[in-house]
Amino acid sequence: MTIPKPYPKKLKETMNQKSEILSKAHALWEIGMTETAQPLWLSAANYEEHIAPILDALGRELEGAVHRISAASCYEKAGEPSRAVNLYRAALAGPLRDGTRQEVENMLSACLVALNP
Amino acid sequence: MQTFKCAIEKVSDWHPRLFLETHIVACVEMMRSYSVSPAVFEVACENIVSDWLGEKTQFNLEVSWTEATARKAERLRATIQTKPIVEMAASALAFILTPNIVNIGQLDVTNYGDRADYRSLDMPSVLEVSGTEAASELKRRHREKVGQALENPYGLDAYVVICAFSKSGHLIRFSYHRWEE
Repeated sequence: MTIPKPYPKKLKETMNQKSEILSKAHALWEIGMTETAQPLWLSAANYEEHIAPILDALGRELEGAVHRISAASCYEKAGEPSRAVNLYRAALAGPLRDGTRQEVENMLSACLVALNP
Repeated sequence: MQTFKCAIEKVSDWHPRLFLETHIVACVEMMRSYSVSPAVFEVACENIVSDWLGEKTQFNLEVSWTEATARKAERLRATIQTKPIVEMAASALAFILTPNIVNIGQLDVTNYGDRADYRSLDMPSVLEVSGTEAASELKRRHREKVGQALENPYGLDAYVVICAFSKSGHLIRFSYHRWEE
């Protein structure tokens, strides 16, 4: 089994910035300010897309896959289902746990339904 | 009984990289609907290793708030439903317990469907939080959330915090669970 490398300082800082944006998006969404939250979802999704391959390169492929799921969920919330579909598919290509894989397949199906005209 | 005292507004200082303003205000809204400041929570711990707690498994958490936050809480109640207020309030209390009772380090937030997941970047663990206004539901909710937390996509150990706000006294269950394949 490969031992994952520690998080570089720069990556932790990037994850910090993403967490700040994502927690704000969530809070606004919870209180019904969905329009104000929209650009934050988009920004958080971009961060997650950037973070995922760095985690893969550190031997943290499972984490990378979870961050792709997070990116996909954020794109969905931002009203970008096409990008969400691509990221759910990318996550499913990774080493997910069985239960997670099933949930992501359901999320992907729901997203594809939303895409159908 | 040992008591940990704090002002809810300090939560933002303890987690400077998370946006917790709404959680703090929601927590004040829940607390002020039952008592004046400070509110006292009876915390029952399970498998919690803490220098502050030592060998004890119970303590009181005394949480105060300012008038300014109470005014924001009034406005919040007018705009959103009870369920998200209870959940956000529980999260604010969890963010007192970590780092003060157990320090699990920097928390990373990811989005998973409709929920926000919290994971420590410094310890192999996730944090699962939930709240209720029915004290009788605490045990069942705790059991349910432990199961959910141990299904986390990372396969990590889990800290679980369940808060019950009620007229008969506020309760918190704070526990740690090892992940087993």
